[in-house]
Amino acid sequence: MRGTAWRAVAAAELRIMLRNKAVAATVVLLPLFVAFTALASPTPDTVAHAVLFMLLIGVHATLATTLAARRKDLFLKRLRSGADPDASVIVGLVLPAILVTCGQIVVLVAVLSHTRLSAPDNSGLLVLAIVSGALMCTGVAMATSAFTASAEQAQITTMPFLVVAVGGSLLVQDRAPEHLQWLGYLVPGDGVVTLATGAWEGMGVGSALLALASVSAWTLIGAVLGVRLFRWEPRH
Amino acid sequence: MIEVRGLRCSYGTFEAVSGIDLDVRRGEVYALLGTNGAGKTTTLETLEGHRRPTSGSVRVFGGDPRSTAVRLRTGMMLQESGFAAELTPIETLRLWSRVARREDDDDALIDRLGLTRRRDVRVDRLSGGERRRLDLAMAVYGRPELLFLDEPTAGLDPQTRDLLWDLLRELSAGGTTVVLTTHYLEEASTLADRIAIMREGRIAVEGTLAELLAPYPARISFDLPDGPAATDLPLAVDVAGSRGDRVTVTTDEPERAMVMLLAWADGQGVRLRGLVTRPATLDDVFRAVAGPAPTGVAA
Repeated sequence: MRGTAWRAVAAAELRIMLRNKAVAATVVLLPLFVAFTALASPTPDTVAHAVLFMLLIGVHATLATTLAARRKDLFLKRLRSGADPDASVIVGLVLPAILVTCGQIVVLVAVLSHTRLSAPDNSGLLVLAIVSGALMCTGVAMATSAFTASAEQAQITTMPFLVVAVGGSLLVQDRAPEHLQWLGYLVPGDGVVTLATGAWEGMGVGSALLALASVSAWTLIGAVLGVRLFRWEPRH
Repeated sequence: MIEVRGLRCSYGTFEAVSGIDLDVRRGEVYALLGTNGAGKTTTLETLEGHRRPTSGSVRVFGGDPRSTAVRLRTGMMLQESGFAAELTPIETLRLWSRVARREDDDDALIDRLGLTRRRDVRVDRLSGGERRRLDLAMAVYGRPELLFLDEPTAGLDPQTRDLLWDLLRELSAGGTTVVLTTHYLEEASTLADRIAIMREGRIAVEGTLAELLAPYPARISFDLPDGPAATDLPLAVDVAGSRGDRVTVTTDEPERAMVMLLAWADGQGVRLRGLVTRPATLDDVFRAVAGPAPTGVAA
């Protein structure tokens, strides 16, 4: 009974996710949709973008929505009135979305590896892409939720990051000339795509570290903003 | 148990609490009264650790209200309850047991609060009263040493209110210290050992019920019989006013005044219809201190 409550909060949060029809539908349908897209053109690049997209929806959008909804319902305030430290409560709240999404990505990659695409040569890079991307999305989601009064509003407030992360990465890759490809490192999400692509196509240690530094920088920005801006109860 | 010195709390330029000192002793029931906007909830939320003081100090069990050491010993019922709509009461309590880090008999508590039949129903399908009872269950979970209740009976049906009162008396008898805010003067009169009335961010008066009532006289009122004028009455007491034929006198010695009044009426051969004697009530104190009484039942 003693010990931190994050496990109990996470278990409750997972149960809530599965009981909420809209969330449950997203959890099931989104990976199917992404899987079909990736299956249609199974290149490392497509799969890497699929990984990023799933993290953005499954972690960033889901968490920004969840945190806003729990705050609006005063459930965050309730959890905070317990004896557990704030950090433990937050870990419990964010963990289910992260684990479910990471699990879905693993299943997606496993299915692709056995059907249309070879297994990644360097699965360590893929794990790095997924974990760092999930952390980045979590930090940014906490910051995003600070500007989000309700679950409905999250549909709008989560769009900018989604557009910048996916659109920015695609734009730089497709349109920027070779000597400007470094611009990609400034875009959140590009590091995730680069690392994930590298899992199949291989990449130098220097490039991997640069990509990781890019994701880490965005994780840091998200975490600092998230912790500074995070609100436990609605504005009065 | 609780020690507050020079507490001030502001929202932007608005100062909700303007410098209060307050001491709550172990084992007592302490009620904070006041009109809407008097600063009760802000004060309580600061004691609970939900809000940081703008200035001044708050010590609970000698420590910071936000600390785990304090939280482990504290239960609270917020003015507005927060639940996860998708969880059931029993799941909510089990989660709470882990978050509050206290243990209790979940089923016994659910039974005590009359939620047994609703134990496995999602919280969003409970009625407002049922939700408030679940809220109370979480507040008293594991019998905390200190209990904060912010308007616990607002909007409750009489049965639930009685249930809450019984539970509070029981906890109090067991040594739990209770701090509550309320709009209901009857609630404060019935439950509280000490009462503070807040007005515009300050504590206007504080004391036991007897202490608060002491400066206020009792009232005797009756219909003035035909014949005598109000000035013919035998009482050396102040005539507070007469409305039509209704006479009200205020006195610090109601028993003596009654004896004189009845002897006089007997001698005159008149009846004093509608004779009522009423001691001072918290309502009188409240009206005098906080302005017009709030919505609620006067004591």
